[in-house]
Amino acid sequence: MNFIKNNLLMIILSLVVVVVLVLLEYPLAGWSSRLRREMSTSLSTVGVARSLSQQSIHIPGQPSSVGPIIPEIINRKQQVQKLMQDQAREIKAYAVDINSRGRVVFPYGPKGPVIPLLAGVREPYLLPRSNHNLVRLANFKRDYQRLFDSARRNPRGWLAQLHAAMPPSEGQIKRMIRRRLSQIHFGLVHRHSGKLAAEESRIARQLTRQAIFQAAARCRIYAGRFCFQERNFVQSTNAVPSSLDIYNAFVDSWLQSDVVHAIVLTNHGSRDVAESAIKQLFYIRVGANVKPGRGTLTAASHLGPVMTPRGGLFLSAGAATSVQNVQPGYNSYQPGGLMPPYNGGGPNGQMGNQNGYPGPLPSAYPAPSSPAAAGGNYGVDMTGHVGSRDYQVTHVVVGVIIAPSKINAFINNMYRQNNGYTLLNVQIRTVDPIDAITHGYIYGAVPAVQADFLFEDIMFNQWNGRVMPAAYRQRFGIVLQQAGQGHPFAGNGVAP
Amino acid sequence: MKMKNINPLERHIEKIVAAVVVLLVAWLCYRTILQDPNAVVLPGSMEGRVSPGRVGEKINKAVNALRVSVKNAEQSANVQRGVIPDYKQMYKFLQVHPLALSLTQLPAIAFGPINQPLQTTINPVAKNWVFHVPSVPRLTDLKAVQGRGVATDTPVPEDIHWVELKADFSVARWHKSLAGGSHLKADESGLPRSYRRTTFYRVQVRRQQRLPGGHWGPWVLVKGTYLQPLPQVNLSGATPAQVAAALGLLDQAQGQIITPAFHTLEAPRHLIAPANQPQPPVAPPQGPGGMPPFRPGFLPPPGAFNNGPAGAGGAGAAMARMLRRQRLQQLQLQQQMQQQQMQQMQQQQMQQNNGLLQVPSQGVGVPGSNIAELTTMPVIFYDQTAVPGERYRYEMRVILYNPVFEFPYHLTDPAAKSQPWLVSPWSKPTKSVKIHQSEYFFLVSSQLGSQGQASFRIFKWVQNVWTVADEWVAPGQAIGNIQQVPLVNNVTGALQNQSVDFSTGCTLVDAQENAAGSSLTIVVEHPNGRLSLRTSAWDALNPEQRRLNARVTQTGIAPTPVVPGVPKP
Repeated sequence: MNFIKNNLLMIILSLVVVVVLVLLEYPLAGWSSRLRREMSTSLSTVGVARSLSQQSIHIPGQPSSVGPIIPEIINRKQQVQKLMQDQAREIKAYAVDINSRGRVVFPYGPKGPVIPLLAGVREPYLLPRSNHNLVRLANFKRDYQRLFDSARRNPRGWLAQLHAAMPPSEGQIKRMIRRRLSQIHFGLVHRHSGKLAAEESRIARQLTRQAIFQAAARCRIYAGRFCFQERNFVQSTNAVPSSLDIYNAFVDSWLQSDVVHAIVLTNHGSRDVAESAIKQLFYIRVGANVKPGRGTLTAASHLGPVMTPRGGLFLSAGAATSVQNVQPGYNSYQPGGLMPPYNGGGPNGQMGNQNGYPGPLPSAYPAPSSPAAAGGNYGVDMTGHVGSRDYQVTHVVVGVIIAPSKINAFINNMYRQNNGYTLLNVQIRTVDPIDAITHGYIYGAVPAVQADFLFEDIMFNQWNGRVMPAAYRQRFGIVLQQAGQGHPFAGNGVAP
Repeated sequence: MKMKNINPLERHIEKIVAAVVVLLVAWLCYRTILQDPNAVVLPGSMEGRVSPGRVGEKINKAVNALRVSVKNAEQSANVQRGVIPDYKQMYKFLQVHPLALSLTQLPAIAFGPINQPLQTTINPVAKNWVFHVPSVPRLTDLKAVQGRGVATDTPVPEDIHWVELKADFSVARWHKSLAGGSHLKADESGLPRSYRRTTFYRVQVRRQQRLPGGHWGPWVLVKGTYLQPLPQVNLSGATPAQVAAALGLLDQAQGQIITPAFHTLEAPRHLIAPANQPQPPVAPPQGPGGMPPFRPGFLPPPGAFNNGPAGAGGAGAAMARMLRRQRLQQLQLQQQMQQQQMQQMQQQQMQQNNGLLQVPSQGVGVPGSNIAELTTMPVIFYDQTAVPGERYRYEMRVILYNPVFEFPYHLTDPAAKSQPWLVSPWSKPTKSVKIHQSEYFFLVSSQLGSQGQASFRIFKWVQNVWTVADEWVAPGQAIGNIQQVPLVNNVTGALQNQSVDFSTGCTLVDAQENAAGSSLTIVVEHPNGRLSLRTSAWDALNPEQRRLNARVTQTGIAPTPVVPGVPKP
């Protein structure tokens, strides 16, 4: 204590000094911190300058570089963007153009009347409005029926293009055996009556095998008329097809022709059905709500169409109302505010109302600007494509027996038919070749599978709307206008 | 003692304070002198801390570096320019090849070993089948038409004679034969559909020449006229891929094989009307009797040849200008017609191809690209080796690819497997066709010249017109030589003297006047050694000569007189 007493002054001074130092530390530290902050702010300019001089420049078609963005770069990028926009417009025009190939022609120029094609043959004066000339309607009906004719009756029909045939039926084989047995010398058989049954059995087996194998050697694919989708008016001799029937038949024929051509390309070079990639065609069905792979298709399913399409021709925006949360009652999609009927009918007669438009209209019919239409209705399918102002969407399902290694080739050939196709689904099932042989179908020396393809097809309204009947156009809100003019286009019902 | 009573802290407090002060001073010195307390780390840099005094320097340095890089970028901006990708082409390519080849060209999957017997079980062709060998049907409706003209697609316009042979190939019969025909036996079968291939290889023609005695000579194969060489194919020992490639080549050249293109011919000169007036011939020297050697019946009408030499000016020049003008008008008309035809064809193609112009297919000569839709196909052959003045008859056949070449199954004729080509039987012969003679010569003098010469008038078909030349020929001399004849220039359209070879190949052997001196009889040796007798009276009454004289008078190309006695070159 004495020490403290003796050095009290020094201690106090020391404490004062310490306190002063501590008190001075706060303003000094603040000043220092502010200085560092300002320095950091200033030095960030260095970082900005460095980053500006080391910008990664990526312009399509130009070599990638690192450096400052100068006005020349900006101008070049603007030029590139403009050129790309021009190209995008050209591509769109080209896409619309090739989308119409094989389906319609413009014999009087792109602004002239458009004539639909039925398997490559022009059928004028029928769409968008038939003029009720019974001769022309009958001719169209005849031409449409000929598409389904057998190869022998019509060498330009689909079956002839496919080189298609069917194995002999059980009745045919029985008749052939009976005829052959009648040609055999029965006196000899009577002398050896004990061997009659064995001899007949041997001849029957031989003839059956010969008939089946001969059919396989003389065709490239097993297919029949039932494989294709026919419209109802074909079945009645007195039925006069309406414009809607005609239009639906045209759309059917376009898509089925594409499938036929794709099969022909896939089977190109094969000598018989055993060498063909696609060995049997079960069905082709076109419509908005067709589903692939429903039921089991056996090799002997030649008794009729397995697939029956449900729903209408085009996939409307409200087709998946249960999935998509859309705005109920909002209907700016339809000009004039009229509620379009739901496009949910089928080609085989499941018509819902008197106008041929099946089914009631769903309460929700979203506008194109709604998320469902603008961004895609993924509740419908994987692409989300539904009908819009630019295009209409339909589906086509194909069921075939195909070599597994050629599945991609068939898809590729389908894509080559038209730029509107997108594969949505493939279902593959195994096939027992021995079981198929027992039914008369020979699939060759490689394994084959049953594949059901679901394709989506987009048809642009720019050409498709011009052959659509007015009721369809009104339903989908398609207003056709010529460039620079305000009046709708007249279609091909008017002579040029 | 007192020191012993105090605690050590009190006893060494000054030392402790001094130590603390020293440490404090040292720390302060370290923070303020050795380590700048206000230095900051340069963001994004590894250079360490930056003191306040170097901030400006750093900023200036970075800005200067930015200026330099901007300057460098401006200098290099004009150098590094690329090409904007053609997205449209990419889109088009994707339309042709939507999927990669690695996806579409997958190898076939074979059955597993346990299922290998399936391969023999389900072979679609039964082992006991015998396939029918097709036979090529005979060509029908063979017709021969002869013609002559000037080929303008050769380096030099060339006078040509030809015989055009046309026949029909029955596609329906060929297809029927491929399918086995109507005479199949029970164990025979038509070819599988994939083997029913129609590939033409050659068209062969043979001809017979009419002999002087009236009989027909031997058949001789004719070399046809093909402006483009036909593809040569040798299938013996070729692999299936090579065979397929060769057949593809032949299929591409099908139009060239069975309907070959022929020379582009000049329009006939009689279309260029009216022709200039004939030139006045210089009267040949009078014969020994003081009479002109011309026959009385061929004296030109007075004033007919008084327009002076062609192209020499005056009326001749006017005529040449008129001819040139007419020629140009004709060429313009032809060009307009060709353009109109091309436009019509393009419009038709655009209509057929949905408004898009496409390249026409190679098989131009074949009507219809799909052979399966035809019942007959035309087969055409051109024979340019026919000799003018001779009479021929022709036969034609076609050679096709043998669809059963190296056929893997049984055939009714196993030897057919080794034959790459199938030959049709010869067609029925055509009617005899006589080739237009392109050269005539007539004896026009009824008396001998001063040195025993005879006067000949020689007609020759040159450049689509009949040209004529007069010549005095002494016994032992060849009849006909090279003379200058006014002909229309193909380029300018004007009349211009051109050299024409009037050589007939015949030689005057002897010439004798009759006793009255009114007729001349000569002996002529032909190129084949045959001797013939000609008299001026016979030739004067020859209707062919009258016709030719009329044609020459109409054309206006006069003979060039030859002074008798001048030795021939």
